[in-house]
Amino acid sequence: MKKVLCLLLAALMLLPTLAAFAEGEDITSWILEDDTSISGEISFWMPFKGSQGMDALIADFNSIYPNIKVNLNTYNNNSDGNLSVNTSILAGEVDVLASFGLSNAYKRWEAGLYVDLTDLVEEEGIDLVANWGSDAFKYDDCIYTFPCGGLSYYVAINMNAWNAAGLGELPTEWTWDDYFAASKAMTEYNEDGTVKVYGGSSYHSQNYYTYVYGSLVGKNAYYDEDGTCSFDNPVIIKALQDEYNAEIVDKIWFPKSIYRGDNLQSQQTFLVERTCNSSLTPNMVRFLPDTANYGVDFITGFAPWPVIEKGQTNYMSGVSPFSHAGICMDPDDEDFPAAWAFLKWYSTYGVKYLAAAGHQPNWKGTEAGSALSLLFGSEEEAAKFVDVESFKRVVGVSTNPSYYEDELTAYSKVNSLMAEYTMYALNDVMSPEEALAELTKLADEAIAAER
Amino acid sequence: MARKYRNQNQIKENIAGYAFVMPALVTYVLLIAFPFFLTLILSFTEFNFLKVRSLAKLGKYISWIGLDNFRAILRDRRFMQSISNTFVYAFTTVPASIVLGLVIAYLLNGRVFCKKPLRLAFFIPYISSIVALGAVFKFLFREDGLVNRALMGLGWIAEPWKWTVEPSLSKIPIIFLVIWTSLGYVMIIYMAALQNVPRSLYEAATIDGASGFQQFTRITLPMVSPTTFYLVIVRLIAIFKIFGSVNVFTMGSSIASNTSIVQEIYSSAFSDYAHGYASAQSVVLLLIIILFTAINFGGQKKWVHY
Repeated sequence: MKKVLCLLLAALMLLPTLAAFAEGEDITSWILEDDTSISGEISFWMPFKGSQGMDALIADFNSIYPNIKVNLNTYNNNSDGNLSVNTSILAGEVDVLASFGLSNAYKRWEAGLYVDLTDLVEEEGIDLVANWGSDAFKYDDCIYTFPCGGLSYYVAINMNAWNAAGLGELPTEWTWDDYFAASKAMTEYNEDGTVKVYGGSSYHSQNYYTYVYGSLVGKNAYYDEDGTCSFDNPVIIKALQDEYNAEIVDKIWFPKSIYRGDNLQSQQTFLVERTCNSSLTPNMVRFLPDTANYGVDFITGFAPWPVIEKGQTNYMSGVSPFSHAGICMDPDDEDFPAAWAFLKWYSTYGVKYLAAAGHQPNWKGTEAGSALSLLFGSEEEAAKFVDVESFKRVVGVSTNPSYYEDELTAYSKVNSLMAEYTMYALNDVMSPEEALAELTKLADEAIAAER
Repeated sequence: MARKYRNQNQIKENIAGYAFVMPALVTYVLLIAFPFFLTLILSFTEFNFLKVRSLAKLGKYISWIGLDNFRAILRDRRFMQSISNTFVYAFTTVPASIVLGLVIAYLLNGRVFCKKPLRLAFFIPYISSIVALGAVFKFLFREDGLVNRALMGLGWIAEPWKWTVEPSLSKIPIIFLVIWTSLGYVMIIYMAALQNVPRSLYEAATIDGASGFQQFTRITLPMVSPTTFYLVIVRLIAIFKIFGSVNVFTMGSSIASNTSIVQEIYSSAFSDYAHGYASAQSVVLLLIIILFTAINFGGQKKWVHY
């Protein structure tokens, strides 16, 4: 009996190891083709340039698949750039495409511009959850893309200003109130009392206050559980009111009205013009090694996305799915096997190269710490630009809880309404409460019209 | 026999005539007539061109929805706002550019120092890239731009105005930009018209003791009224189709107070890929232009002197 119990106990102890082994096997065994000498020529469309990690990605791919020629086509990830991508797909010029932003991917799923990969995924036993953390990204129950690229949200901090304000160690967890207090402490004034350098800043996009709610609920910040919009939620109302206070009343955050009116981006105010000492951002790290355009004389530290209350699960602390890769080529094309081989490799091993452009790999098998070396070359080199310890703790931690979006009813309309009414509040045309009340009414109408 | 030859020659002449007309005709049919009628048809449909896999099966991707697009337009707050904004642009920039253009043309038509360089200076904005000019104007009107600095320096405003994002101000930079860029064209057309006003009329008026102002209002204005009528029509149509100068200013601001009709059409077609709806919006724009052109033609009898 004792022997049986011992054996059972031993078997139980071995189970997690076996499971881990099985898990490890699941997420790598399908990636490489049996025959890596297959040949072909494919065009790969992506918003990043060769110098932003893509040349290295293709070289790495070719070290495994030497006979597949990959031609990189860089496009602008704005509405005109995406329009040109779509017309190029129709013209048959795009073989493998990374769509940035779920709404762009969704429009392509809906229009059938991506090849349906469902059968291939089933045939090869690809586990979406094990590989990329979610199987939510489907359209009409079909899989068109892999959600392999992500964004990590954090606060980038000028350490000179942080230390001068006597704010101590960088926080490992902090609340919005803590961040506003730090912003106030880091705000510098001219002799006449006007602001010289703002202590903090939101990101230049309008929607960042909705991520306060997103960090609490973990998904779909624009929508409530019942499918209506969430802009009347007290958390969102308070978040916009807080941003309004920081920018208009207390003047401790760089105003979003200037970001939008003057077409500025947060890396410019933080690194070039030095008009803010810290900033919420998903991509600041991309610009730090670019000393020609963004050279600075300070070290950048990193604090996590603030929470409403300490102890709260922070869904903005992980890596949120952002880019989706798939195939646009005709499945009967002779180069389709090459495109499939490239897509599988890019979505897994290759996706780490996104770090060179400030984005984060969302593949669960990505080696930890690869972002730092891809961005800066080595840890020693990185230390010249960033506080390495806080970088490792905060930027691109894919094991932390992640926010994601999979609700897309009237998404484009809701998003453009959100942008418009947010600016009415932050331009002081309406109070935040009035703007959000009007926004809620119009967004709910748009959602109801599409349902 | 002679008649037969005449007929043959006539046929040959006709063929030659058609051959000469053909390139223009084909271009017109392909690039104007076909898109025009296609737009009319698509305005009654739901259509996303991205979904079209084969032109042979185009009908499969088009759903007939009757007047639904036009009903949706009536409920479309942003499109209605863009119509109102475009009317503001039309009713401010067209009179202003025509009046200023005429005054400048009249002044430059007389004896003026550096006449040619001045003409060139006024005409250059018209032939320059609207995107480049828009970027310059946006720079002038930004928060820390020259306009705010000048106004603050003069003590007229205490804090910088948000010209590009404040709804009550956001049309003003665009209006200035449009007037400035169209001035050169209006001026050149008026200069040509002024050259055709007989000198004898002015000489007779001078003998009769008419002042310069009287000569301008009683001779110049009536004599150039056909040109004014032409410019009103042409400038109104141009402003109803305004896109570039507005797009430079609205890019990123997200507010609806300064958008234009064509910008909304572009957004429906190429951001939302709702090509049926965008076609319906285009038809509405066409109707607006036809209406205003008809009103102008109707009213011209009262003030245009041929």
